[in-house]
Amino acid sequence: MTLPFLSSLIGLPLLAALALLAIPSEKAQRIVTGGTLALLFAVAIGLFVAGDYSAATPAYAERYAWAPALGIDFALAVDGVSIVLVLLTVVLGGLAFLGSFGREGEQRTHGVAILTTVATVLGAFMAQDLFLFFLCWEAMLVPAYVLLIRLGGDEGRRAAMRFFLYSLAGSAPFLVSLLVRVAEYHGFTGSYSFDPAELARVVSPVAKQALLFSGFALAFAVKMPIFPLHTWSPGAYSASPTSGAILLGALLLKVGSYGLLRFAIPLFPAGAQLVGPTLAVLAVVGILYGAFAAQAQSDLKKLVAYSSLSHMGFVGVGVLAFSTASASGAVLQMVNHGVVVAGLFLVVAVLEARRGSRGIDDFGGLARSMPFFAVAFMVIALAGMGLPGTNGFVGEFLILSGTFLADVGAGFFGGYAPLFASVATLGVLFGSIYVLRAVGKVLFGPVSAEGGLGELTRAEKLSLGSVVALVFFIGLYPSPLLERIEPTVEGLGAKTRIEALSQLRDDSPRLLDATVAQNDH
Amino acid sequence: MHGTPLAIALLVAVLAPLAGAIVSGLFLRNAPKKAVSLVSVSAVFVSFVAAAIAYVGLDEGSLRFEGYRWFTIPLGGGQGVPIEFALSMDALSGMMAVMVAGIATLIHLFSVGYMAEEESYARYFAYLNLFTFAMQLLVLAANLPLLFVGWEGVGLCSYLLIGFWHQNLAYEAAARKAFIVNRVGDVAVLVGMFLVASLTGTLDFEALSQRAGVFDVPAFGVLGMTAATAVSLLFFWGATAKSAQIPLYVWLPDAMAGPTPVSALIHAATMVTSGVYLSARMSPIFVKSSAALTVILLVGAATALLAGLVALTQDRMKKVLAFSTVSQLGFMFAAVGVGAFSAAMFHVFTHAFFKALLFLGAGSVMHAVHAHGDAELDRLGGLRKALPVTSLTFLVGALSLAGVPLLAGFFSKEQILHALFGAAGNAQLAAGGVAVSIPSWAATTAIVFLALAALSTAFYSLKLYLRTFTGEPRHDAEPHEGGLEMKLPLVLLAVGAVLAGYLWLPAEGLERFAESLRAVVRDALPVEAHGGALPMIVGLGALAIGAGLAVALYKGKAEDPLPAKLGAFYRAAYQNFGVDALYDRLFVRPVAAISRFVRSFDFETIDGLFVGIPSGLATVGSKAVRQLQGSTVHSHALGMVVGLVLVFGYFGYPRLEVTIRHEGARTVLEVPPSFGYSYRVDFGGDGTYETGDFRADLTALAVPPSAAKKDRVVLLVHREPLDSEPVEVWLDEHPRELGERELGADFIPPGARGALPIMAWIEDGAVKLRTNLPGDEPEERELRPGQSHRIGAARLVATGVAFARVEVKNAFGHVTVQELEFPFRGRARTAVRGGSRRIP
Repeated sequence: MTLPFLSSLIGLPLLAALALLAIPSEKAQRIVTGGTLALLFAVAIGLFVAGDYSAATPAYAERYAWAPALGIDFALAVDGVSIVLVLLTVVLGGLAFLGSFGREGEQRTHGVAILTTVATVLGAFMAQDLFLFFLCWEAMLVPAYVLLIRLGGDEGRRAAMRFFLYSLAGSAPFLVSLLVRVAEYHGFTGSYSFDPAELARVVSPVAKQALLFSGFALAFAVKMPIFPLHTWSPGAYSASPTSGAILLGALLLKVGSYGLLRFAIPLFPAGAQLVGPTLAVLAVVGILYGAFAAQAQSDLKKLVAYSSLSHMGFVGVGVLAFSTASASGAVLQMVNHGVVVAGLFLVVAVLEARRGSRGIDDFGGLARSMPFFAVAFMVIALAGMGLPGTNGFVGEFLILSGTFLADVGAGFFGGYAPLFASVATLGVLFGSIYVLRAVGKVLFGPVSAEGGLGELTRAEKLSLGSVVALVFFIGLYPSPLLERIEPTVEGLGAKTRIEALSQLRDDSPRLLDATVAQNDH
Repeated sequence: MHGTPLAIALLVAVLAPLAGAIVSGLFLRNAPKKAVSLVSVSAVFVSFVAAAIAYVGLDEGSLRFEGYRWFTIPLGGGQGVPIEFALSMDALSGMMAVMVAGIATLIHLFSVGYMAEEESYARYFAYLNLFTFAMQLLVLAANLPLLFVGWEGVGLCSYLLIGFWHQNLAYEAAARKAFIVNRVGDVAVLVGMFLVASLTGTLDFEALSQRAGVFDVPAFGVLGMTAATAVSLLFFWGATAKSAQIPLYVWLPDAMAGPTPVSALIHAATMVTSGVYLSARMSPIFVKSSAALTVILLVGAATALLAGLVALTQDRMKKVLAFSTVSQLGFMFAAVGVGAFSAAMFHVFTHAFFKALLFLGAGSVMHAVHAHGDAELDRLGGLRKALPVTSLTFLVGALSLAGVPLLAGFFSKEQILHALFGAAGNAQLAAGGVAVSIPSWAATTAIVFLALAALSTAFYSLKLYLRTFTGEPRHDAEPHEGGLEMKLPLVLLAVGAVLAGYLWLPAEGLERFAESLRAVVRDALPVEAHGGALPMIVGLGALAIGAGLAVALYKGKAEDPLPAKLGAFYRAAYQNFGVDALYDRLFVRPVAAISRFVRSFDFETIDGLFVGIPSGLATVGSKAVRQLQGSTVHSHALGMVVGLVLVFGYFGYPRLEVTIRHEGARTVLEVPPSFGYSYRVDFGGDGTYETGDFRADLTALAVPPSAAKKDRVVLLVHREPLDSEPVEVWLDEHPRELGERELGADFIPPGARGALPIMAWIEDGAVKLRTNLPGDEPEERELRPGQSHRIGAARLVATGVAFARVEVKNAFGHVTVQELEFPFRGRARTAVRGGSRRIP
């Protein structure tokens, strides 16, 4: 009899969020928020260390009947990919928490938003039931939305509106596609199910699969974001407070790429094979487009938004190339991107707290007056441009080499894989241009203001210090993560690639044998 | 972790400088300079000793230190390309590692004296240690990805050190240029790695040389190239960036912005030769592609000649040496191009000594005359008496570079010429059983280029010596030698510049150098005995003519007669044949233009498409819903509100973005054209709109003189030659002090260090300057718009201020207004003074 660790990962932060509503003192609120996150971190680390992730099957799973008539279960499971993202979620929650320090009178809002976001995102990463996933998918937007409306001012309200519109435009087709697939399943079996493994047994005609895949992919592409569905992000990031920006820009995006990898492609393998290359072209365009757009920004948060578009382009290519190496690299890069973007938002927060501005041109020569900050900014920026030795390099290298080496027969890009990889590699060049521009303007050059800006507070030191530590740790010793990611990705990928090929040959509607598709416990 | 005790030495050689960097960078920031010197010099010295012990114990074979598995590129089914953190040393990397650490030790030592006055002393040494770490990692890495860590690591340190005095934005720009140009090459190295991994399933050097047979298969689909050609050209592309070859050599001359010992270590002796090292490392693949070798041969020879010619005309010590380095690297690649990898490495080895010596010599001169940034030959001369050690060792270095017989440079240059004559003579060369055929026309062309390059080498080496150390002094400093820590490295390097060549002679007891190296690299021909005495005659002929011309021209002359004699050619060569300007037009400006376009495209077109259409649909949709379900006021209102808020609230006001650009003497105001937008502009603020009423076709307007504001003047500071854009100083009637920030770190003329202040203010529509240089009377000067004045390296220009009121109207009739003030000639920027406002 094991304890329900997975449910507790969702339940604890929700309970703590409720408790925050009743606690009047800011200090107590802070202790509750921090304590809950620390507890979650302990549980996640425990699961990370103790679990056996050498096989493709989940190391931990929980399943409770929820709405049996509709085939909906409260089903959670953690495998190699999930556990890495669970850990990431908790760490980013912690960083968002540290980023909310020093904002008087807002502690409760931040605390509730962070804890509910963490709970719902954890739910999404662990969900073994597509209804539950959809629920978490929708619910996780609410806290970020509330932060934007409450703390973002006029700009925040405008940004929240477009964020909402975009999400709606994506979620509706996602829901429709999901229900169509459930109906198909019902047609074959006479019962309902939202279990992805069950739903993957259905084979639909390729054209229909392509449509259903597109429905899923649209929702995920908006969130990632993939070009040209990204324009909600610059405004939303720049209007959000630091904690909200971290939740939105570093954490929520990952659910999009995770959904693509975990659900969209395995459920509709032949459809993905058909639509995937188009999506991958958009991802590659995004890599370069984001880099160029970032180059011309003067607001640091907007710069981060476009650099994020560029980096998530790499993730998109890696997922869509769907080789073991590229998809493993993509999962690792999700972690890296989360760490780096959170780091960058924290860097911007340091500047904004001292000067009330995020304009690149408003700063200069900070390397002199703030050496610790300068080193941290430099390291994070270098990780962002994938300098070897930092975490960004390993992820990008695996994605690009994995795409380049993607097996011509089974890969999604056929013989064009090396071309895709080579063009995407150009992102490495253009990525360095805007990063060095920002670093050069802020850290180097003549000192912009009379007097220094003052060194870092303890919370800033702790948060930036842990980002820097993660950058080097993952960069130099990524094995603990990769060892867990790879078996899962390979299990998911090998099966899906074979299915894709066979369904392209024969797409007559049918239900596959449960033993073929079921990777359930 | 595995490895013999000897293999542990490899780890020490790599990690000792890293430890030094961490200690001085993080813990000794505020410690006494002595502590920093002790830690960092000994860290590099430990690396040298460890590398030397390993190299001496390297019994013919190779050493390997196995660390841990960094990561694997999984290929599915348990297969994968493993990438280890592993170090290895063979004759090739051993020679490099010992040389790198040895020269690094001497340069660290020199820096102790050279940088003694530096505020950020610990930061400097931390960077220099970090560089040595990255370079040792590059050299000793056992596989390509780990080499790439060092490869980018040295690039990063180069960036940090070029921009070491980053308060000067021009230096920061030079650093950025170096990094970005190098990244152009890194893209190719990455793709090259992917290609190698996909063909051979490994990235480990040892495994790779065993599996080089894969590349014998000629067929390969990309652009009709063989796999070997594609791989070789990709790695060579990477090498053109790191080792400053055509077309990516442009960053190296600018890199001289860094402290001079840095130029000696990074931009002459070690980092820039890593492209040659990589070629030698990949020689088993390179020799399988005659096509790639031919390209390398021609590019190398052309670079040698081009840079040699530019070096002739440069009038600053470090610039001459920088172009000389580019030229000598060209020699090395010419050798690589005929498959003579060991000859190329020989030149890497000797060049490291004499070029590091020459740079340190230049540093010693700059130290002596208090020149900052670079030393102008026109302000030197006659330093032989005051600087006996520097002048003698510099002469040795110059003669070695020129190729005077029996000095180091002579031997290695001869070997390269020998190899080229060999290639020109034999259509077929052989490398380990593989036929290599370099077209004889290519080899002959290369020989002609290199002969001319050798001639100019001899010329500028002698010119440099004569103009610096002989003749009448053209400066007013009281020069003196540096301390022992500066003299000792000069002397030791001079000994190396004499003797390094003898290590390679086929004599008893010296086999290690040449022979064991040839056992590692895959030379395409036996290096000896080709072309008879001809190479020697060509080499000595070039030396005699070049040196003779230099002596005839410069002996006892105060002025440089070359500009007058060469005329237009001199001016072209002095400007690097316009390559920098060309690249600016071809790459820098287009990238900036694309970025600006993407930004406006993003928030006008893409955003409009994905937010405008949905909001429009929401309006239409709400109508449809009402008709379907019968009117519910609620849904209608919701739809209307959403639609109206979005359409009018968001799109209601046009966005206005004005860019001021300068084209020569013209100042141009630009606005982005956009659907439904029309603009009008009032220059000068007199209420008349020069453009007439709102016009939709307006994109760029030349700013007329009438835009000038009578009472405003701006001072533009051109900090030549490094700054491409002047710095704007906005003044008012209150006198304001101009300091380092406005005028640049090196604005003060030699001999007037510490002189301040220069005051500036506006009076009667003109800029008033009061300079107070020591020795002179305080001087007051008036600059009317258009007039200029020079102080040190800075040129101050007064210019009028233009005023423009720009209005943009959209299809709904909403108007946004922006008022700008900007100088008539100045930096491109959106000069917003006043900000924008909206008029319904």
